[in-house]
Amino acid sequence: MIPEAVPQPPALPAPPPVREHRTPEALSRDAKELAALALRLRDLATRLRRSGASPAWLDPVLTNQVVRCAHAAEHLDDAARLLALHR
Amino acid sequence: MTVTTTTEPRDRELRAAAAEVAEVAERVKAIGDRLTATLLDPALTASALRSPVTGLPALRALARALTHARGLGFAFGGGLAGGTASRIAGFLGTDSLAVLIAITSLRLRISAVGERHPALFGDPVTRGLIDAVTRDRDIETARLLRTMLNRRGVSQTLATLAPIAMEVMALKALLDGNPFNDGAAWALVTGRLPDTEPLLGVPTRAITAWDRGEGAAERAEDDPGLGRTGGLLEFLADLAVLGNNGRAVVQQVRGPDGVCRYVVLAPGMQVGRPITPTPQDLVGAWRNTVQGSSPYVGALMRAVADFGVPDGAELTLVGHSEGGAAVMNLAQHPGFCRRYRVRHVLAVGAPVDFKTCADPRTRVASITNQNDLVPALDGLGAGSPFARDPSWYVVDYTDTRRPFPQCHNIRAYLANLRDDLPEARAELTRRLAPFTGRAVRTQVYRLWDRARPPSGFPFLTVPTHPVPTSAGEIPMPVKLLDGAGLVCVFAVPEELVPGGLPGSVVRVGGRALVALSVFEHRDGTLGAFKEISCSVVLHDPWRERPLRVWPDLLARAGGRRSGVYVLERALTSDKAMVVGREVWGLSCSRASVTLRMAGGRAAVAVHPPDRHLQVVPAGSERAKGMLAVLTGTLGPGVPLPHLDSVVYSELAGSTLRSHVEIHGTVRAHPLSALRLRVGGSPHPFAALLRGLRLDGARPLITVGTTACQARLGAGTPIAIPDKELP
Repeated sequence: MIPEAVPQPPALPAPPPVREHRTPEALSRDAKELAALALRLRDLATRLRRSGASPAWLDPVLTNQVVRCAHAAEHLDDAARLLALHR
Repeated sequence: MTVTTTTEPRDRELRAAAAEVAEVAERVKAIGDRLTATLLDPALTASALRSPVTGLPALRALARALTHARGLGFAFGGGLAGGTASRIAGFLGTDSLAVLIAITSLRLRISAVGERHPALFGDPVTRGLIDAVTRDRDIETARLLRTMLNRRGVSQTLATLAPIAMEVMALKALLDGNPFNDGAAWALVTGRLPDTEPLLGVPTRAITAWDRGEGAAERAEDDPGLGRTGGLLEFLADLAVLGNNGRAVVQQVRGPDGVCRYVVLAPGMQVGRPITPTPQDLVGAWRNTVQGSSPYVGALMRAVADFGVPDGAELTLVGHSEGGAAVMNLAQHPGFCRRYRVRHVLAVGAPVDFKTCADPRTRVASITNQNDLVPALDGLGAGSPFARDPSWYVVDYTDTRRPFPQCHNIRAYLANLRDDLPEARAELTRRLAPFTGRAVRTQVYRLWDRARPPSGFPFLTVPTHPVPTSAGEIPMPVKLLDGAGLVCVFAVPEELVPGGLPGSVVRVGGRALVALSVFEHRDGTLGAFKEISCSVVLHDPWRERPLRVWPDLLARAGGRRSGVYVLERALTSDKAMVVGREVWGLSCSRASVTLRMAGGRAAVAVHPPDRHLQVVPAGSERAKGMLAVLTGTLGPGVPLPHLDSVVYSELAGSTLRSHVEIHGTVRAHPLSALRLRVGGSPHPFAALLRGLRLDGARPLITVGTTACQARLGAGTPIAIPDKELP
């Protein structure tokens, strides 16, 4: 069976240029993004587990990364708060 | 049957998950880059120093966010300072969260490949290797690789790892502590074209810069093995016939509707030297993979133009390996696609995933075997979740019967399409139907990186005039395009030299100088032949110059008064013999001659013309019938500017003076340890050498060249005054 075209997801968009993120608001945005990414990884792990496609090693690895993303978001929130105080 | 082409649902799901995780990894990395820019902002540092009560805690919080082991890890990146900090982290082996997430993506890709290649994880050594790479255990990785190589050999090891080669390389690059290949690793993770190679981090520009030139195409002789019919399997078979030797084909095919269309066939790179004068070499392959323009593309465009393909004509471009990347580059060339209508591109075993056709109507088909490493060299291997253009017809199959590199051969792809992939063959045959039919015209082209000057340029770019001989008209001067030669100068008793010469002999210590010249001409006006001649060195025919003769013998032929008189000349070519007799009046005979110069040694063997050419030990039974053998070491050499000669000869009662100009790398060997052995043959050449008592003689000096060109000019009659008193 030769598929007409192997169905594959499109390539990732180009990364945004590194901008000058030096305001507390920008740090807060990044913290929110990290929290969202943690949720995304958690959902992915759940999805794979439910479908039975998840390899045995994946769950603990993703769980650890979800926790680290959440911690990183907290660190960024702290930094944003202190930077706002300084400004 | 071991050919599979389907994708399993779990495979697709894992690859989709890998793409999603890769996106998360890249976004986490971008947050790290932005955070780095904030922390390293000089304005913020200055402000914090001005107001340390609030500033320093803010800086400390930023630093903690950027380096906390339970958060982003050591996440410095972006910009000059961030890049430097990241490199330091790389050397220290400190990982960031983004890198760990990227590794998860790569491991998901490997798991996806395992769905289609169950043997990958069924094998404990391979499983252990993947585990060792993932955990950055270099010693264990090396040990397992060595085990694999010892047990299975290079070919089988490559075949085993080929489907996950890109993922393993990316893992290694992310974890190896070498920060220079991290960019390549991230490109592989996120499905972008790497701008450095992933092993060491050498910029691809530093490699592709060696592939220089505008590309050139010369018409070459037809290959009788090429088919005379257009069609899918015929095109691939023709690529197999062409081989990888710098050739390509442009073909005009009359389709079933009677319309003539055109096909370009572009083979892959030659195995061997990485840089050759043709575009089909390793640096060319790299350049065609990572860049759009290349000498190969230029050469193909010139071939199409030279063939006379009319503007607007329909084209199909078929390429294998590097040729596939080159024809895709051709299809993404806007000027080419404006001039011609590129209907189809068929890339076989080629790294083309990052190419985009200039004409959106062009239909692209890519055929790849997942065991073949070459199509993955652009970064998108069997496990990649990224596809550049979903409109392409992709045949990505697995055939475990042929490991890498055999599976990369065009004949392997041809066999797979013919025997194992009926649906792909049917679909591609249907697509190429308008290009299926009788080949009206087929032209083979030899491709070059850059246009080549005419043969022999500039030394042999001189006017010629025809001279009639019994072997036909011969253009003079005779041009010898490529050859090698050895000239040995001996001293013989003067009384042994025949009399009646057009000048007095040059003497050293009361003995006459005799030169034995052996030349192998590999190409030229008279074709390939070899010759050996025995000449005596003469003074200026008008006046002896006992001292000034020595610098004179080193002068170029045009300004030389002294010269040589050829006593006897033995050749391997009848035509050269006829020309020698009728143009210069030389005494010529047939013989078999061999000349070998290599490793500081020289060996010359002269046999009767019917004998097999071989240097045999002097004194042996087999040496009895030989004419002469000259063997020994050349010794140290001193460069000489040229090996010119002036030949005096007699033709129809006149004395002729001719120039022999030899251009090349010439070395004099004053300490050569060569010895001449002369056989007992009645051949005139052997008889002459025996008459000169040269058997067992050692040359005073030897001059040699392993690569030279020569011009043999026609003789000019000169009137030499009779020195005998009436």
